[in-house]
Amino acid sequence: MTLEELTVEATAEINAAKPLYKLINKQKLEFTVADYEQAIIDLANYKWDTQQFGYIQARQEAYGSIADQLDMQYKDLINDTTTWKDHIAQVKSDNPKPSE
Amino acid sequence: MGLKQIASETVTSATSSVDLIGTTTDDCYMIVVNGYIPTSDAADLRARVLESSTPNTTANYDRAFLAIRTDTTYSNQSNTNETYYDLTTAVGNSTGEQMNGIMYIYNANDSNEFTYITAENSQLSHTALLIGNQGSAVFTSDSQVNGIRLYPNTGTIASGTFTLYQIEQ
Repeated sequence: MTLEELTVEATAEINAAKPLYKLINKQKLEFTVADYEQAIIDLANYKWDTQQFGYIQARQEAYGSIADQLDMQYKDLINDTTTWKDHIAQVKSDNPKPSE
Repeated sequence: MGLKQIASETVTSATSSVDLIGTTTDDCYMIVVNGYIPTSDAADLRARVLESSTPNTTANYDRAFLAIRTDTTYSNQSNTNETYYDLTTAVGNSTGEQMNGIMYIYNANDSNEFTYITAENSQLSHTALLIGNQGSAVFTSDSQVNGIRLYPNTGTIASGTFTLYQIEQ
C-alpha cells in the first residue's frame, strides 16, 4: 500500500477510536484537532514503517544468535548437510521484503 | 541535592498520551515510568519534547540504543532525524508483560542548547521476552523544553504511572 492509502486507513481507525484522551496535570482532556491530525500522521507512518521495514527486525530475531549459526555451519561441514543454508533461506522466505 | 516531584500522572483507563510538564530550571530531570502497559500488544512507548506545552513533531530526534535481549544477539537500534524518541521494543500486554524504566533529561530549560536524554528500561515484550533497553537520545534543536509527552506508537496506554522529578542541585 502507498503512504496515501495507509493515511486513509489510519484516518478511518482514528475516527473510529474517537474520543481519544490525553492526561495533563491530572486532567483527562479530549484530543484537540491538532492532536487528532498528528495521531493520524503518526499512525500512518507507523503502518508504513512496519510495512516497509518490519521484515528487518523479524529476520534478525528469526536468524538466531551468531553462536548458534556458527554451530549450525560447523555441523554442516562435519555432516555434509545444509541446515544453516536452509534455515537462512526459510527465514528470508517467511519474512519477505515488500518488493519480493 | 535531592529529588523533587514535579508532576505525576497515573493511567487507569485508555489514554492516548501523558504530558509531564515542569522542566523549568537548569537542573537535570528524571522521569520514572512504572508499569507501562499498552492496550495494543507489541506497542512501543515513544516520547516527544514539549515546547510551551506543545509537542515538537519535527524530525530532530536522534537516538543510539542497545536492546539487550535474552533470545538472540544484542541489537543496536539507532536512528537520526526521527520525529520521536522510541523508548522500548514491542511491549506486551499479556499477564506480567509491561515496561518499567527511567529517563534523565539534560539542558531542557536552556534555549541555547540541545536537549539530551539518557534512558534505561526493563520490559517483557509481546512474546514474553525479557529485553533491557539502554541508550541515549538528543533533540537537535536549540529550544526551551518545558516537558515530555509519552505516547504509544499504536493504540493507547492501558495503565502505568509516569512521574517527573527535578534533581535539585
